[in-house]
Amino acid sequence: MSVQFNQISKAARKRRIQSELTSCSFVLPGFLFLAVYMAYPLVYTFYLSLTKYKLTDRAPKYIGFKNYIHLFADDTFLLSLKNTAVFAVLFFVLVMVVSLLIALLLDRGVRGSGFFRTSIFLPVVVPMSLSGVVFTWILNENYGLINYILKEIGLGILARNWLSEPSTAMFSILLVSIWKNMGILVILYMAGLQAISNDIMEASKVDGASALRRTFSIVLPNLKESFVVCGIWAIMNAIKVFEQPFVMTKGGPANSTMVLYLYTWQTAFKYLNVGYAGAIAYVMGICIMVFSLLNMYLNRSDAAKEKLRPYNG
Amino acid sequence: MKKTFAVMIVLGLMLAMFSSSFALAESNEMTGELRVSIEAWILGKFPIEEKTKEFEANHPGVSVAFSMVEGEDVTTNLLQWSQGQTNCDLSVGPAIDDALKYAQAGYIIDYGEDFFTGDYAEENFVQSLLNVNYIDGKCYVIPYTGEFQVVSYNKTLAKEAGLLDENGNIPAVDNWDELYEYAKIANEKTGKIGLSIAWGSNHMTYNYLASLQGLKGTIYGDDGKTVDFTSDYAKEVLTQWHRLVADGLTPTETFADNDAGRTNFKSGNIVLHMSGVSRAIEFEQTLGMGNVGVLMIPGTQKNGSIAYASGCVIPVFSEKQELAKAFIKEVILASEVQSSAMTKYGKMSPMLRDYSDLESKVWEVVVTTLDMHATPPLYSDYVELDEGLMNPELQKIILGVDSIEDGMKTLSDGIAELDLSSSLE
Repeated sequence: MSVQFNQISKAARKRRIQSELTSCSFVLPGFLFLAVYMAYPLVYTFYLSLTKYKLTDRAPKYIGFKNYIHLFADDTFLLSLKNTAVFAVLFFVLVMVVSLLIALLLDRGVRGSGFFRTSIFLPVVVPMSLSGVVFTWILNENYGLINYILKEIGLGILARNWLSEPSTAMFSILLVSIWKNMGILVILYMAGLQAISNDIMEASKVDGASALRRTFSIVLPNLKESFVVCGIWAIMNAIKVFEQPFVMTKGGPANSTMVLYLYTWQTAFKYLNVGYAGAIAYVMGICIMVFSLLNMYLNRSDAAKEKLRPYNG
Repeated sequence: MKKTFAVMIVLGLMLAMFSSSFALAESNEMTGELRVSIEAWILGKFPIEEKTKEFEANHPGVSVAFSMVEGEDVTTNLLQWSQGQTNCDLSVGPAIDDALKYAQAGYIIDYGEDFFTGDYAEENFVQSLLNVNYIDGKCYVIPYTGEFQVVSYNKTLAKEAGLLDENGNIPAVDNWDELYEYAKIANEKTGKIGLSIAWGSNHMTYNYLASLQGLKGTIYGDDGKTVDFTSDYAKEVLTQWHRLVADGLTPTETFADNDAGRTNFKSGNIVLHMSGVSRAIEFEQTLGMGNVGVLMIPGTQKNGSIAYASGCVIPVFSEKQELAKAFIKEVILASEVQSSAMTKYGKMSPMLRDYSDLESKVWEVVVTTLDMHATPPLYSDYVELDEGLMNPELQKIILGVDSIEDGMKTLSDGIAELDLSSSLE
């Protein structure tokens, strides 16, 4: 009996090991990919951030956390941190709100919503390198379309050098960024809206709930998952903003649109100072992580809230 | 005797073997594929591909493969060369500040005296374009084109503004007050932009250095090494630039769009435009031959402007170094190639022989000033100086965000923190 049991147990163990090996073999390619292309660069970049190393140097020289300390005495870094924060907050708020409003409008099935959906999504597929150049022309002081229209409609006094004045350059980049990115969020919100059960909506109508009431009491609470996804996406894209200032202003005028990602790129690939660039990149990564976690915490599900609530006996 | 004879035969065989292997190595170096990395725009403006066919015909067994790059990718080259490998035998495009990084790491060859023989002797080059490429007395870059800073003007508009003399040219200016007056008159009489200055990331530093060189006769401070941001000459340049913008005579559109001045000039919206001399030739292609004049930046007719060059470097890891040198001489520096780029795009040839029988009057100015010009400083941290310090701070001064005094202090403090060495040691 015991021998038979041992044999069964052995066979079961063998089957389990085989099954685990099979599972591992499926996971292995993905794991190797992540290890080589994510984990190794992350670890190596962190090591570089602790060194004094320009690409023209023979080898990195370990300096501890000096690069991180130097960041807080670096005016350009502090300015780019401030610019990124300003951009991120405004971008996050505007892109989340504007996209939601558009998604709500389109979800109501306004006439020509198919056309509007396509129009709103179209900028997403146009490379920023192209649309950025076009916007550089549109926003030009002397031959730009915006100033031309303003002058034609008698608002010439508002015409200005949109990208070459520190007071308007970041604002211009912000608007272009919203135009460029809101298509994705509109699609995500619309997916969330379509997942809301028609029965609940119909029931609320029968109960006499107004459109506004339905939006605040049914639609928005049911979009919580969409808010989490859209929020993380918006935060990441806000803090990682790069292409727009790179193509449209190169960080100018007078560094007024210099953002963290652009400064990291400039430090690494222009000044070849990869050690210092690694430190900037890590600070940026930490910012993204903190804000993403904050967003997840604020939009956590009710079940998660229950779990987090202290036990009161 | 027999033994001696046998030893002699063995030695003879060994000698024959060595010499044939040397000959084979040499012939290998002059045959096969030559990999040329080149910035894409160069192939568009210089008829290099046509001339390459001739080169391949003249060198049986040789084929040339171009790999086009958007701009000089210093990072990729450094990383690749640091592994002792190269995917190109010749890189066409880098300026001396890029080449300095390669040379400091020991990744590019010094052309040596052997290169400069016959038609390509040093005296046959435009000296200001060749001299800029020397590091520690050795030449690491062979220039294929050059530029210097001038003020181009639209003759039709200048005539409308009454700025032309009896010869149909704008009279030379000695100081910035005179240039300011020209800009003011041009603006008032034509309603167009009086003076546009290329203040984008590609020309800001060159324009500052050229303006300083014109007024002071040197770009350096008292130590003869540090770019001057503290003298009265420096202050005069910055004061005039700020004044031009504050008075609405010069737009700042080039801050964001490097080509805004160029585009506007071609559209006939600008009377005077300060930039590279090649622009004048390019403008003639749009505005008509003879409709564009060149005015020297104040003082540069006497002290010279700022000239700079782009060139060719050969990685030490290339096995086709001699073939690459032959390609430079027979294709890149060929008279047909250079003359075509000069005539169509105003690209200055580095070879003196190309400066005769040129149709455009613009070249007269170029020829008469060819060897007067100074060159930008050769610093290890030149990019940091140019893009990290001068561009943003000069923009702040021009816009009035920083006062001129504060800006000058920021610039002089900033340059003190940079590595201004250029030695290979």
